[in-house]
Amino acid sequence: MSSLVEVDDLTVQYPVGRTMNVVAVNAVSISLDAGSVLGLVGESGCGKSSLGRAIAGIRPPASGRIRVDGRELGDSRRRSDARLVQMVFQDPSSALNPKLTIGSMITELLLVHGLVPDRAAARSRAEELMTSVELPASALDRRPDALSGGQRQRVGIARALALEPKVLIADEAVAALDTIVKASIVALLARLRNELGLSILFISHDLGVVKQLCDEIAVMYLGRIVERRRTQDLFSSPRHPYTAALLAARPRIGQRLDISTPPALAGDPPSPMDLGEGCAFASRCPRVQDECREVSPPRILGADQQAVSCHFPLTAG
Amino acid sequence: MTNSLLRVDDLRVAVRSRGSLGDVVHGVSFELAQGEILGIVGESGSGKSLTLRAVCDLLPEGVERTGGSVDVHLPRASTGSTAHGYLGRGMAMVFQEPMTSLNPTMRIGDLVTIGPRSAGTMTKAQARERSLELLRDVGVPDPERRMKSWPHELSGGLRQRVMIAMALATEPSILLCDEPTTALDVSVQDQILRVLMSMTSTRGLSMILVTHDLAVVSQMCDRVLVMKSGLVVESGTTADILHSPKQDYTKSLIEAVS
Amino acid sequence: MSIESMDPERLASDGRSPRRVDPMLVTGLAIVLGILLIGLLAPVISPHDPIAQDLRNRLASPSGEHLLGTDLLGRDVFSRLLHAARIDIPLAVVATVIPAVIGVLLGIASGFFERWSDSLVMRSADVVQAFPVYIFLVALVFLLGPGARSFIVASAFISWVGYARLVRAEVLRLKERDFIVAARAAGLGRLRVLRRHLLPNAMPQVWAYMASDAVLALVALASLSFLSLGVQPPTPEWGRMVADGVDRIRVEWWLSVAPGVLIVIVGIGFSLVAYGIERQVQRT
Repeated sequence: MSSLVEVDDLTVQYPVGRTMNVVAVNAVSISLDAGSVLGLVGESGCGKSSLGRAIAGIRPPASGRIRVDGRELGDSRRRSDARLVQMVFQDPSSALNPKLTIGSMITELLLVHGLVPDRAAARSRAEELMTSVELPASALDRRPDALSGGQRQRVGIARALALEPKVLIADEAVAALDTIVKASIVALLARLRNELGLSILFISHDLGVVKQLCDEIAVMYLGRIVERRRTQDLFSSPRHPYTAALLAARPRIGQRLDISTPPALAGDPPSPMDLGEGCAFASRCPRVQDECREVSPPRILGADQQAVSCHFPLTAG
Repeated sequence: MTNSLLRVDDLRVAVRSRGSLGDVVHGVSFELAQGEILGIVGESGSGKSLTLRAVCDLLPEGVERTGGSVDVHLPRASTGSTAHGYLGRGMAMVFQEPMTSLNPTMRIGDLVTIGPRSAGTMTKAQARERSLELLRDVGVPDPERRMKSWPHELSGGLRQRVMIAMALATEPSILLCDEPTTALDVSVQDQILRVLMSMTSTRGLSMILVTHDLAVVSQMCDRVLVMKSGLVVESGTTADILHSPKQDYTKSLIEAVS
Repeated sequence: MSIESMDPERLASDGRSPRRVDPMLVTGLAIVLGILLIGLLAPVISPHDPIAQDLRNRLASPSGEHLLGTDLLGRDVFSRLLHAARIDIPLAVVATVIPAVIGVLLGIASGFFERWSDSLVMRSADVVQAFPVYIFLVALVFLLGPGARSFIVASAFISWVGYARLVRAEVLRLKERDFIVAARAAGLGRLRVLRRHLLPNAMPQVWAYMASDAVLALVALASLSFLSLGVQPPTPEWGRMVADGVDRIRVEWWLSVAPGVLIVIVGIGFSLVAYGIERQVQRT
């Protein structure tokens, strides 16, 4: 049984200076089933955004393969590929063209892709899209500066949905929003997922948000996936020490900070250009052994059951 | 009453645009007791940051305090000039964005004690010693080497530690923190909040912590002010606010993160 | 009540000020277009034929008959002033628009497509900019022969550089913005993204630059004509009129001052337009 999204051995690099490259995504394999929501979490520099952008066709990978709905997606995307994967961006103030009305932006997409026969039909479809993201039809005649951050983000979702993609990639789609608005957008995504059977790759640094929306969660650290579990399992019994640290580091309501205990995770991540052999987390892992420094832990592959990439994972309990 | 360091009464702040003044803070009152950590929580546009800045007289261009009073009763008199109001003389601020708040053309060692040195209260040698000591206190690893680093060479977490060290260099009684961990990863936030907590308790400081994150408030603060649209919607001890919120707005804030 | 938290359906109220046009922009346009209009109407409203000589009535003082007197060849100064408006302003505009078009196109090629087109365009720009402007201008006109046409050609050759650099910078900046990335990711072709998404966002800066460039073009034209390299006699042109009156500046000072003042006023007009556009853009 194949998944909707299959990523094999994907590597994404960025040039640094003239001669060097920093590896943002390190030979990652990941898969997403139709109709499910996968959370991709990690801290800055873990590569989650780069992975998302590579799948969306925004940034070509250095190597590896991406398949969506059985079709292989190459480095340069064809127009029809846009109907497979679409992205919702983080920053509501730069994700929309300030000079275009919402309506003209959406109708352009619909017409260019031949999804509607004429302008009237395009307008009507655009109105449907506005309704599905809980915005009034009159929003179509406004420019982005007339909308609030949350409203703009809804427009961003509508734009992504206009092409009826199989997969939606939300790249920190709620990170820039206020708390209450954040919750409403997450609720919207949950609703859309239920009504449209949408598959979503939800990239976020915020574990709390991910918990509400996602069926499964994959945790990334320095370009690798270190754990992938069902949401409840991840939160109740994380197996990778990094995941455990991340969960412990979250501030929780009702808990006073106890400074007599050490921080959940000490120090800073090593430079991504400086990674040697062995586990990327070895330098900060509380359970590190010699083997960790010398041998890379087994990778989590796209569709297999190996859920944690660690030599000495935490056991349940 | 007797040991309150700061008493703010009916504070009003307005923004000047095109000749007229528009109110953004409509009368905020609170007190800060000795050794207390007070949280001010609210969404963007609630006026929480401006309230903090009005207290230490650090309002941006075009924004002014239009009413109310700020009474400061510091336990020890601080000398030296430079300051904006009480900044540098009893109050110190920790900003949100470590990327832009540190002068990129100065080395870390010089940055930490820039306050006392420009106030003329330290010699160069004393400043160096003090910088080293402060960097150690805030947990910067390998401080001797780090003294010579430039800001851009440091990670976000390290920069924030440096900023805290800078604030402590002026020997404040009150630490004002404006979203100090908002721009940081969660594991780094955990580290920095611990530094703030331990610095305030070992030095007997008081702190006002402005944040949009209720969970941070829950971890750090003794009392909380909930602000919305320039007004204090609700205030009380952290436990009261979180467990038995009275106002709808407070309830919706709590619900959104639960 | 925050609109956000209550109802996503409520859009920002139109309590915000409607799109007002910046007063400086309006003033500047009024000046330039006003004087241009007068110039265009000159054949109808001008009291005398601007090139008709009356050698018996040379250097006459201002009077009812000749509002600004007559010049060295007995021509009515006022009429010449009016007619010159239909020469100077349109020429300044053309000498601005042509380099703008060239510069914008090259800037786009440079910024959007990058690689070799970027290097080619930028190095050419460096070469052109290395020469002192006026000397280059004079040399080119000298080579091509004096006259309005040569002036246009020479301007085109020199002035495109500013636009190219400006547009290139804007394009590079805008290329990475999410809405451009989103447009490409949505399967829109490069040319379409360029035309409909990038360019409209880059143009405001260009308009402002054009308006201030027009001032320079006007002054350059006047200067060239002053040096007898621009518009050729007997066609009236302000710069030329200034030159003609220089020898008589002690007595019939108005012969040089009047056209000079007009150059300044129109120059201010263009500058106000430029400044006004910038302020207008900042507001929206």
